[in-house]
Amino acid sequence: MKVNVNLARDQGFRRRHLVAWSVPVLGVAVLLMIRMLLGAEANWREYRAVSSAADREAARQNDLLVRESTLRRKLDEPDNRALLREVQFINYLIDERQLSFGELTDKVTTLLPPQARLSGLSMPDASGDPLVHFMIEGASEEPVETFLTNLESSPDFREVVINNQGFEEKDNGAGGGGGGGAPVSITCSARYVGGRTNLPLLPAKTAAPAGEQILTAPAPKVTTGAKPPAGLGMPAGVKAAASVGGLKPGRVGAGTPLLPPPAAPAVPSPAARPPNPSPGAVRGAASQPPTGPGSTPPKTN
Amino acid sequence: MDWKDQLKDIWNRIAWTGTASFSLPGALFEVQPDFVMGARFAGKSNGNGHSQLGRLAVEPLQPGALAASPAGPIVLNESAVVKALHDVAAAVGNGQPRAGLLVPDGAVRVGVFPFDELPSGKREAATLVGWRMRESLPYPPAEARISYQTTRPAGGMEIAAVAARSSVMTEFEGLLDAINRSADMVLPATMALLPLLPEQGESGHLLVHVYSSAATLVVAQGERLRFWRTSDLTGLAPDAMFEQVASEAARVLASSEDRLNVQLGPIRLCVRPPATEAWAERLASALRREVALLQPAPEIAALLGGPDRTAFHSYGATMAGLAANR
Repeated sequence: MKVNVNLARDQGFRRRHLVAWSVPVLGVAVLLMIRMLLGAEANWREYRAVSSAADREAARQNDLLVRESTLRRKLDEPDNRALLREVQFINYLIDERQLSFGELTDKVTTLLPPQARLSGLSMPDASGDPLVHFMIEGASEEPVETFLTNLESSPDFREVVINNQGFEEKDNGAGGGGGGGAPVSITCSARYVGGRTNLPLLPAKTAAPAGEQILTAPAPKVTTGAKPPAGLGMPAGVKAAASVGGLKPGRVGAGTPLLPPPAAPAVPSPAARPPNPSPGAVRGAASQPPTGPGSTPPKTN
Repeated sequence: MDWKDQLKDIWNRIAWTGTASFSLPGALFEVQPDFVMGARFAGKSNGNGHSQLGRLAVEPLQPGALAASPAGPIVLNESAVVKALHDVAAAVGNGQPRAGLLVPDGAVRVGVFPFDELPSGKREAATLVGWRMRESLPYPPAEARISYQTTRPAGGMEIAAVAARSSVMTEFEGLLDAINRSADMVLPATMALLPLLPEQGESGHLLVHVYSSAATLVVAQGERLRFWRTSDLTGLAPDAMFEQVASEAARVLASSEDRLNVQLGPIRLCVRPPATEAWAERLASALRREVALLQPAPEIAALLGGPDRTAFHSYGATMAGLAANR
């Protein structure tokens, strides 16, 4: 009799192969787990690196903030405030360098008629619209009046004031200057408005520390006739030392000629005078001793 | 049915597992209350197609280590049983993980039931068979692991079913797990002897299997299993055992011829210690019937050595029966 019964548990395909498949599945799972662990470790390292870099940046930012606050405190000290005002004033003066003495001389020369000559030029006040003093000598009254007319009608000058005028007898033989007759000398003053500029007070070239409130505020526009703002006024220590373009506005006193008065002023002939002499030429002409017979020192009334 | 029984029923439905089809593994173990036997097939077959045993070993088991109870528990001294199994496995020397296990007949219930038709589903059929076996089971049919084979005599269907409690089977399988084997086949020991019964002729055969703790009497007719009865002989002296076996055999003979209408041929006797071959003459004298010892084909044990052959002669009929099951 053949026996077909069996009380053993039916281990189906899945059950019978469970152990056989469990090993490779377990191996794959272990590999995946190792891969995940390695990936997690790499991510953790990267996170730590980024975190440490962020910490370093934060520390550096804090250090910069400390340095900034320190610099602010130092900047708020009186000495540094004075230094800042000096720097700003120097920048202001640099901006004011638009005033050219040569240009002024050139403009005055164009106003002179042929029978008159410029014997003296001074600028006692250079702030705002500079006050310019002229000393003119002419062979007669007519060229002097012509100069005054030209000066008043010139757009570069205003507030023409005649300070004094005089007539002086010239020795034709001794002077050797020629021209004959008594020359007429006149001293007048006027405000020079031809050198006005509208530059901002604090241009970008000012080397000021970033974040300084006083430097980043909108700067007022300063004309030649305006004073620097109160906060930007010239410091006392700087006032005597500042010089612009060879001018010394703080030291130039009234009546002090910038050009030495000619020892023997002579009105050059129209042919001898350059039509538009340069400041250097004017200075050279003024520095030459008078050669004309009537070249005597000016006489003021 | 209270909520515990309902939960248990639900769990049994979930954990239900069908039984495997028969397959002969390369190694066999038999556990009985007084001995443990192991055998390894050589992987060869003789001219008749029978597998040949390569090694066979028997280890005695101390009394009380194993109990042949259908409701369990079975293993009373697990360490002793496992040690005996381990020694037998080491002596047999087969490292195959899949093994067969023969269990005491007293741990299972066998019945023969006529059926008109069985459900096509294994689970439904097993449930129906279990319901038919409910009166002979000392536990709920839902806890039974059931295997059956069908025969189709003229005019109907007959089911020879074997049932064992799942917990008992789990205990037996746990013994093999302890020696790193898995139970690929589990049978009652006497079921392994059925292939040794001759199938020719219309007459039936009464198989009397007597061993340490029980005696099983089986009536088989051709491919049909007609009758199965197991008597517990635990604690009886050999003479008392013989008297009980003889009386039981006489009742079976009478019942089979009267109720089953089976003309029985010579009684086939398989005795294992403490029974002896002398029981054949005594049984023949007592029953006044021809009694023949169940003799395996000698070629099955042709490869066994001296000690293995001696053990095979005393205990190895079950192994030989499985080797002849084809």
